[in-house]
Amino acid sequence: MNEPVIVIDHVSKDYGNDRGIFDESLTIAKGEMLGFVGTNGSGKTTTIRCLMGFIKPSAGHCYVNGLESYTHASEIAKTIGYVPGEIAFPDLTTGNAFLKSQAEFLGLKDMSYANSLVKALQLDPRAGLKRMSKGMKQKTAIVAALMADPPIIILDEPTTGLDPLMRQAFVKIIKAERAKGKTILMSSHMFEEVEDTCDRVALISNGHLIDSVSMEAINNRPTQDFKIEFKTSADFERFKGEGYRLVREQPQYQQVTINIDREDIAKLFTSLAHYDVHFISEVRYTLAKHFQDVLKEKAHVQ
Amino acid sequence: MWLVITVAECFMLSCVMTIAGSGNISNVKDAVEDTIVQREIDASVQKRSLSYYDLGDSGLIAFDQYYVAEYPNDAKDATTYATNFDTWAASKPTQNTGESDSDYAARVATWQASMPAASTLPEKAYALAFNTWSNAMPKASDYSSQSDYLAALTAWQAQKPTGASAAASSSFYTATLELEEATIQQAAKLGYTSDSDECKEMLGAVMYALKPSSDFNDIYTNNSETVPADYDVTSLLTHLSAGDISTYLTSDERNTYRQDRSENSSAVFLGNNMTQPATITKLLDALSKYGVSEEKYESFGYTYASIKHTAYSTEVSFQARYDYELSEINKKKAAGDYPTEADYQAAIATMKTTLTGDLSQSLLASLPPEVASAIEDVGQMDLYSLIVGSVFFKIAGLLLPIIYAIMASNNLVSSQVDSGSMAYVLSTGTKRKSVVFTQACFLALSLLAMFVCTLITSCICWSVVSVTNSGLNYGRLCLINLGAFLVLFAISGLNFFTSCYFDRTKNSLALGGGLSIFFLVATILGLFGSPVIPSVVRFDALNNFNYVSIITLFDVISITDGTTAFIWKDAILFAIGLIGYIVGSLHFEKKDLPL
Repeated sequence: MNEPVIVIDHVSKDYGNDRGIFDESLTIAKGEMLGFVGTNGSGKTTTIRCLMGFIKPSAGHCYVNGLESYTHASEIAKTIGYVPGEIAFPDLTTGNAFLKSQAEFLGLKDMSYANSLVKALQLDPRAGLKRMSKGMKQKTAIVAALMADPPIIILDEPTTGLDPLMRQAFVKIIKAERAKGKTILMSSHMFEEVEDTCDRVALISNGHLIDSVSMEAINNRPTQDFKIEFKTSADFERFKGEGYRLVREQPQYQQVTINIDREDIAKLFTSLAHYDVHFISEVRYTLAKHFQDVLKEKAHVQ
Repeated sequence: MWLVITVAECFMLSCVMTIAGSGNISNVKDAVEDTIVQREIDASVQKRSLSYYDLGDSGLIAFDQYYVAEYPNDAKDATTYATNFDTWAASKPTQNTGESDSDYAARVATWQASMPAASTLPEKAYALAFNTWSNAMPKASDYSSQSDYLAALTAWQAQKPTGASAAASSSFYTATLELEEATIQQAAKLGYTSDSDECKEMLGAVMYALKPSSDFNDIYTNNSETVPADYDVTSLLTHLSAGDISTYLTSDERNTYRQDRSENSSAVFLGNNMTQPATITKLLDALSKYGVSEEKYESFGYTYASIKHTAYSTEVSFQARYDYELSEINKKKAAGDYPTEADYQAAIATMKTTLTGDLSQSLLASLPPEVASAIEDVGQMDLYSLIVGSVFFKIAGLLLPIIYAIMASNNLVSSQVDSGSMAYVLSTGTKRKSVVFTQACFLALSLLAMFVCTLITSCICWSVVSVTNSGLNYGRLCLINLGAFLVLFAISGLNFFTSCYFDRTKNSLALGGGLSIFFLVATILGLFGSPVIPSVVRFDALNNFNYVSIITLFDVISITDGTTAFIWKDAILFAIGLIGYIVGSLHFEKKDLPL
C-alpha cells in the first residue's frame, strides 16, 4: 500500500443552516486517482478548498504530504497543480501572458511541456483572456495547472464547458499524467466521467461522505446482468423456467433481466441457442446504480 | 490608471497655481485692503496734526505768559543799566590838542576799563546792542554828499538801543529757554527722555510754531514755503505799557494770531516730517503686515502738499468746532450746570478728547466691531493660500487621488478574491503574507509617487508666478504636499482594510469608498464654515462638518501660519493609515478565502 499523500481527517466546515461538510474522512495514496462525485452544492468544492488551505476547517485536519493544509498552504501549493471550479483569470492581456506570469511565479523555465499541452488541447493562447470562450478558458487553466509537472493534481469540475471531443482529449491527458505516477483528485457531477478514469470514487451528499468504492470492484463484479427479449411469449415463458436468477421481467415486451455468475455466461449462450431471441444486452452495473443502492440502503436504515 | 490620474492631477494643479498667481484674483480684496490702509494712514496724520497743533498753540500761550512775566523785570534792569551805560559812554574822552596818541590811547583804555559791568542778560543785551550800534555809525567818507551823510547819521541815531529794546530781546531769549525747558518736562512726564525721538518731535512742534530765530527757517525754505515773520512780541510790549496786557493775552485777536501761526507751522512741520525717508521707512515697516510695498505706498499719494493740506484742514476744523463747543459749555456754565470749577474744566477736557477722536477716526474704528473685523478679514485674506492650500489640496486636488485609492485598493485585493483570480497567485506557492504585503506597499508607494509629482509641479509653478503677501513658500509647499499625501495614506489604509476584510468587492466599495467620498463631501461643506473664509461670507454652522471628516486633520491653516499644530495631526493621519494597512493584512492572512 502506498503512503497516503492526501489525508482528510474528520474534517467539518459548518456554514450554518445545515450547509457545509461534516465529519469527512478520506485518504488518497500516492499514484492513486480519486474521483469525487456529488450533486451541485454537496460539498465537493468546500472539501477541495480545505485541502488547498484556502479555508480553515471548523473541526478536523487536512494533510498533504504530511503538512497541515491551512497552516502550510504556501508550501503545499508548490506541489499541487490546481484547476479551480470558477475560472477567473487575473487582469492580464492574453493567454500567453497569463501562462508566462504563472510560470514566473512557479519558477518554471522550460515551457516545452506547456506547449505540448497547448497543442494537445488545440488551444490558441494568443487570444485575449477576456475574449476567450468558457472552453478555451478551461483549457488554459488546465495547461497552467499541469505545465509545471506537479506530483499532485487537484481538479474541481475540470471538464465543465468542454465539448465531447475536448473532453476526450482531456481524459487522454489525465490518463497520461496518471501513468507518470501522479496523485490525482478530480471532482465532477458526472458519474460517467469518473467511471472511465478514476481508480476510486467517493460520493458526497449534503456534506457527508456517503461511500467510496474502487472502480475495479464495480467493473469486475462476480455477477452480471443481462436483458433478453424473446420473439414469442412461449419462449418467454419457457425461459423463465430455466432456473436463472430473475431480476426483472416485463411480460408486455417479453423481456426478462437475469443475473448470472461470470463463469455461467457460456452456459447461458448455449441454452439461448434454442430460443428465438430478439436481442440480448448486458445491463452494466454503473457507479450511479451503485450509489443509488447505497443511498437507498442508508435511507432505509434511517 | 496611475499615470492618467497623476497627469490629470498635475495639470489641474499647474492651472490653478498659475491662474491664481496671475495677479487678477484679488482686485476687490486689494481695493478693500488699500482703502483700509489709506484710512489708517489718514487717521494717523490727522491725529498727529492735532497733537502738533495743540503743542504749538499751548506752547505759544505759555511763551506769551513767560515773556510778559519776564519783561518788566528785564526792562527795569536794562533801563537802569542803560542809563549808567549811556552816562559812561558820554564820558568817553576826546583827544586833546597836543596830546600824544599813546597818552590818548591810555586814557581811552582807562575809560574802557570803567565800563559798567554787564552781569545779567538784559545788561549784556544792552551792551552788545550798543556796541553793535556804535560800530555801525556811518562815516562821512562812505557818503557822496553831506545831506546823505546827515540823513544816514539821523537814521542811525534813531536806532540807538534803549533799555526797553534790550529788555525785549533778553526777555524773548529767556522765555524761549523757559518754554524749551517746560516742553522737555512735559515729555518726561509722558515717559520720553530728553534725547528721545518723541521729545525731539514735541520740541519741534513747539519751536517751529514759535520760530525764535532764523535757525528754524530750514523746513520752510526746503519745502518752498514763505518763511513766517518773527513772533510778534511788539503787541505784547504795546499792551504791557498800556496796562491791559491780561485782557490782551486772552483776546480774540491774540488767540487768532497764535492759532493761525500754530496751524500753519504744524501743518508744515508734519508734512516735512512725514516725507522724510526715515519716517517713510518706519511707516512701511508697520504696514508690511498689510502687504503694502513701497510702490503701493507711493501710489497712495502722500506727498508733502497733501499731508500739509490734510493737517491744516483738520486743525482748522478742530479749532472751529472747539470754539463752538466751548461757547456751548460756557452757556451751560452760565446756566449753572457745572457746580465746581473742576467740573467745568473736566467738561472742557472731555469735549476736547471727543473732538480729537472724532476728527482722527480711522475707518475701522468708526464701524461696529463685527463689521470692522469683517472688513479687516476681507482685507487680510490670503487668497492665494486659500485657493492653492485649502481649495485645491484639501478638496479639488484630493478627489482624483481618492478615486485612485479606492479603485486601486479594491483591485489589489478584494476584486481578486471576489472573482477568484487570487487562486492562481496562491496556487503558485506564494504566501498570503507576501501577497498582501506587496499589494500594500504598491498602494502606498504609488500614492507617494503621485504626490512627489505634485510637489515638483507645485514648486515649478511657485517659481514661475510672482505672488506677494502670501503665506506660502517652498518649505510650506512641501509640507502641504506631505499633508495631502498623509490624507491619502489614511484613506487608502481604510480602503485597503475593507478590501482585505470583505470577499465581495461591492461591500468593500460601499464601506471604504462610501466613507472616503463622505469625508470629501464633508470637507467641501466644512470649507464654507472654516476660518479661511472671511466672516462676511462664512457659514459658521457648516464648520461642524469639519468634525466628521478625517481630511480636517490636514491643517493647511496651521502650515501657512507657521504654527506647529499640523505636526501632531499629520502623525494621527499616518497612524490611521498604518493601522488600516496592518489590520487589513493580518485579517487577510487569517481569513477563509472562497477560491
